[in-house]
Amino acid sequence: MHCLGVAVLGAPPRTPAASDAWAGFFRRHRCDGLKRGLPCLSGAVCCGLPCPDCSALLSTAREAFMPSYDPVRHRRDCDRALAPSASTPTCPSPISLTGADVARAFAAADVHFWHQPPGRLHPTRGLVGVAVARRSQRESLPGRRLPQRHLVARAVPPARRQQQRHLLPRPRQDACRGVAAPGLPGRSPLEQQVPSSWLWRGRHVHLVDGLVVSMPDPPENQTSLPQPPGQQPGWGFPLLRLVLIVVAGHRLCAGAGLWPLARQRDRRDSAVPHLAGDHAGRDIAVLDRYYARTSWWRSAAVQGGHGSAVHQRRSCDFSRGQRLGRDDHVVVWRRPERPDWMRVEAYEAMPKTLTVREVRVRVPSPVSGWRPWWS
Amino acid sequence: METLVVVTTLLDEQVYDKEEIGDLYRQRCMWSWTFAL
Repeated sequence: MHCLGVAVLGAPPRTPAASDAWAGFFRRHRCDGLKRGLPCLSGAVCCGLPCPDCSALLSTAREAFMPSYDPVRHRRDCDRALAPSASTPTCPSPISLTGADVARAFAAADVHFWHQPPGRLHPTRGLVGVAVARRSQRESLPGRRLPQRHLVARAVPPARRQQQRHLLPRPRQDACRGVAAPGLPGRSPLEQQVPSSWLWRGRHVHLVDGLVVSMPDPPENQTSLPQPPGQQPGWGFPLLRLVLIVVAGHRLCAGAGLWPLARQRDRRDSAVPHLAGDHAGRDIAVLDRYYARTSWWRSAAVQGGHGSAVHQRRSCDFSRGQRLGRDDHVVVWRRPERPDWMRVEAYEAMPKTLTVREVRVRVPSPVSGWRPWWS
Repeated sequence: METLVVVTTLLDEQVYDKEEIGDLYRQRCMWSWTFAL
C-alpha cells in the first residue's frame, strides 16, 4: 500500500525510444520550461512542514515527471525520499517496495499489473504505463493487440465492484493504518510514532490528487466503466478516475480509490473525504480545485474533517464576510439546490450553511499557458 | 507570481497564518512532482 504510487506511476523502464518521445513531446508543447522554472523549495519556504532534504527531493521531483524510469534508479530515489523516516529511531522504518513486491501484494486482491512493451509506450500516456486487469482478462489480453494509446486496463470483477473503492484488501489496510491505539482511534502505529516536529500545527497533512485514465473498450469494461454521458455511442473510451492520498508527515500513501468517471458521482465525492479525513478534526486534506465544490466541503463537514482547496474561481470579493486581514476573510456558504445526480439523503445530510475561510496567496508560476502545478 | 484563492476550514487566523496555508500548496507541489500526479 505504501508504494502504490510508485508502482503505478514509475514502473516503465527507461528506453531510448521513450526518452526521445518525451523530448519531442516537450518540444512540441513548449513545456520544457516547466521543469526549468520549477521554483526551488528551500527549507525556509517549506517551514511548518517537514522537509529535511529539499534539494534531493527537488531533484527527484524534477525527474519524476518522465515516464521512462529506470527501476534501479527508481528504487534509489524512493529510498532517498523515505530516508528521513528510516533514519529516525522513534519512527518505524517504512519499507520501500519494488514494483514486483507491490504486484505480488495486489495479486492477493485479484488485481494484476504488467508492463506494456517499451516500444509501444505512448508519450503522453506512458505516465501510467502499467496495465491492471482481473485474472481472466490477464490471460486473454497479452495476445490481444491493444490500441497504442490505451496503456491502462482494469476490470473489476462484478461481484467485487461495490467493494473496490479501496484497492487493497481490508486486512492489509488494517495493517497499514487501521490498528487502533488507546486515545488515538484509527491511527496506525506508524502515524502514532511520527515525531511531532513532522506535523503541521499538530496535524497530519494529507495530500490528495488524482488523475483520469482511459481504458480499452471491451464489453466488460463498457459495462463496469461506462463512458461519460456526453460521449456519442461509438466514440471515446471508458474513463477511470484514480485518487491517491499521500501523508506529508511520513511520506507514504495512506489511501487510494478507483471510480468510474461517469457513474456514482456523489459516491465518489463523498468517499474522498472519508479517505482523507478518517481522523476527524485532527488531520487536514490539501486538495486541488476539483474538490472546491460546495458538495465536497459539506460532505467533509459532516464527517468532521478539515481541508484546504484551491477555489474554482480566481476572483473573490474579500470585502464581504468577516474580514481577518488583507486577502483573508470568513464567509458563510449556503446550501444550493440539490443537483440531479445527488441522492436526496446525501443532500439532506449536508448542513444548510457552511463557514469557510478564503485566503488569497501568491505562488510562483513556472510557465504561463500551462496547467499550474499547484492546481 | 500568480495568485490563487484557497478555501479552507481552518478558520482561526491567529493559529493558521495565511502564508502558512500557502506553504501547504508549495509542499503539495513538491509531492505532486515526486509522484508525478
